[in-house]
Amino acid sequence: MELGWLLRGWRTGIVTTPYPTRPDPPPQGFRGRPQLDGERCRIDDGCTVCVEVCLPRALRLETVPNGLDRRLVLDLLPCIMCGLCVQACPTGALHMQSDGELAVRSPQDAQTIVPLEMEVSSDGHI
Amino acid sequence: MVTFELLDEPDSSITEPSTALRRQIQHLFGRSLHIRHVDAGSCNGCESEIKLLTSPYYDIHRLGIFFTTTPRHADLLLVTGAITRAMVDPLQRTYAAMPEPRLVVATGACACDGGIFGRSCLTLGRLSAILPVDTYIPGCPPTPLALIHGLLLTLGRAEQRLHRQILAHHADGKA
Ligand code: SF4
Ligand code: SF4
Ligand code: SF4
Repeated sequence: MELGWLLRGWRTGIVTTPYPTRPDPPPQGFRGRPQLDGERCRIDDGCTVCVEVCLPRALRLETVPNGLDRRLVLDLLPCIMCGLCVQACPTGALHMQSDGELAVRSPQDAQTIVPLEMEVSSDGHI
Repeated sequence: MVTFELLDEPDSSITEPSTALRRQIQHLFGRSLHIRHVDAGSCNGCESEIKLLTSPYYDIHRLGIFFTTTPRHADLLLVTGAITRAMVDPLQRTYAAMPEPRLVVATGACACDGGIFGRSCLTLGRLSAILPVDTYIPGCPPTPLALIHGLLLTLGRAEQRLHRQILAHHADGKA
């Protein structure tokens, strides 16, 4: 009986993950996090589909501190990685990427920004 | 509906620990660290991932990282949840009870920046509003590997992969 357990342990070997010495690939079907491609984004043409579907406002339009220009920000800190924005984006500018090393020391480091130049009238309308 | 708002940059004097302190901490805690975990309004998703860290598969004990049940023995405060107002005082008292130097890690979308709960009359929506946060681990919930990376990043034993990215922008059909 005891010998059986010994053999079982010997045959199974080490189950502990090799991370961080070696990478541990995520399991199949792991969704990962959204990534934004500025080349394909059509925010200049008035597309704001992703901003509207994002529940925690991880994708948002912000006013640049100069008060005139705006920008599209993908902020991974509030993002719940639901993937709704990827499904909704009509141009494929957003896609899910399954990398796990997302920790940051400063909140700004988790942001991806697409700058935007648009004429903004004094009452804030385009 | 699209909304516009001014940038709400956190006050760097509160949220940024000094580089010298960070170096001292990395020297002291490099190979041995005790964590006190506090749930400040979490849905328990983050807890189920944190619990896995001590399982045979992830086994953070092999990295010299342990959980402790009292803040007086802890070097690092691991906070989950959207920081409910009822937990502000217990969190501050936990932080005050920890010996210096001490580290603070915000875990999950909720503690980092509100997540699905956000800021409301009941929640502050981010840990950095009350404590100086050293590391943010995003994800809802973060996977155990992401947690290990976040802890090692805090200790200076891993490098940060994400950096603020400002993308060039050329919409099709534009000059
Ligand atoms: S939905 Fe896609 S194309 Fe439209 S603004 Fe968002 S990322 Fe850009
Ligand atoms: S994955 Fe979900 S939470 Fe994250 S940016 Fe997209 S819609 Fe928002
Ligand atoms: S980040 Fe997600 S999993 Fe963690 S407490 Fe918040 S809602 Fe729950």
